[in-house]
Amino acid sequence: MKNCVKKEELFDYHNHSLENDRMSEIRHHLVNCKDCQKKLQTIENNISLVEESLRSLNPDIECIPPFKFIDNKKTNQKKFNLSTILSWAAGICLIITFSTLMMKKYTHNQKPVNHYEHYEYIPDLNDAWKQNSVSVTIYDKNGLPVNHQIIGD
Amino acid sequence: MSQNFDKFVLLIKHLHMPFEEIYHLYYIKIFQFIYRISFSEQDSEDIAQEVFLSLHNEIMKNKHPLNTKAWLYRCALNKYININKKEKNVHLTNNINLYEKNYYNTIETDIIQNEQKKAIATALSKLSPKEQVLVNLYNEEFSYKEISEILEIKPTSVGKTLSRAIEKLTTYIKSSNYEELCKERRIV
Repeated sequence: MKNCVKKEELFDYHNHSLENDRMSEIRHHLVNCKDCQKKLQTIENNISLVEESLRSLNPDIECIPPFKFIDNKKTNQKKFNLSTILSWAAGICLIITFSTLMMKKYTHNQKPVNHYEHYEYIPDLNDAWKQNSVSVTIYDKNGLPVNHQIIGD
Repeated sequence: MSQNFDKFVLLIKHLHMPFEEIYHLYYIKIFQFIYRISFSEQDSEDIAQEVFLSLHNEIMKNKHPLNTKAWLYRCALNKYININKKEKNVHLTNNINLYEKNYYNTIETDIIQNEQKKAIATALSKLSPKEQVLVNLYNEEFSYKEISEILEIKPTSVGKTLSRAIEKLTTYIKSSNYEELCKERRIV
């Protein structure tokens, strides 16, 4: 017969999930069309078979177990395991060291430019050229030698 | 029209229903729904408990879900997917252990019943996970709209995929010896 209804649409018709106009159209069509009647019958049989088989899969439950209430606070505490604590500690240590380094740099830059603690003195560059070495003496503010180094051979 | 009105009444009732009543009304349904997907009693029990725990938390926060039934099924499904991701189980239906001793049955009926269950489980496992869930949700008498909300798919595609899945499942069931086993069980 012409204008027969598709299987999918018949399935929707069975579930009453089509628009009212289409539902009435299919209802009228089903009165005269034996093919569609057969299709609908097989769809209904299939659905009942599936329902029955799924029902038989259900396990028997004798009684409903009591609801196990777990406090939210306890569940939150569980989240803090050893690895998370260690990672937090490492992060805090990094922040402290970085901040102290930055502070040192900052305070160092605060000193006046002319405030020298040590003076370096290189005696004779010609002599150094001949000997392939430079002797460096470091004096403090009072003119007393603090350190003496020979750089090179 | 009357069906819609009934659903509306049920929705209003759920909004004023205490938690314990919801628990007693839906615990078995959620348990069975997860069992039909996972075939593991332990997993189903754990997931059902977790689902109701999260519902309890939602209610405590004054965030009562509008459609409690759909919310419970969606939550259960999400929890099942999460467990599967963690354990990396693609198909739990591969580990089917459906033996269940019923003290009122004879040994023969027990064996036949078990064979029947295995036949259905294997037929179900041949479907894709999405189709399995779709068929199970349809069996729980959800509307297309609710199914589309739970699975986050278009409502227009629900009918087509569902009809195809049911057709597939019936052919798989018929190709197994399910109906013969049904007849045998009746004779026994």
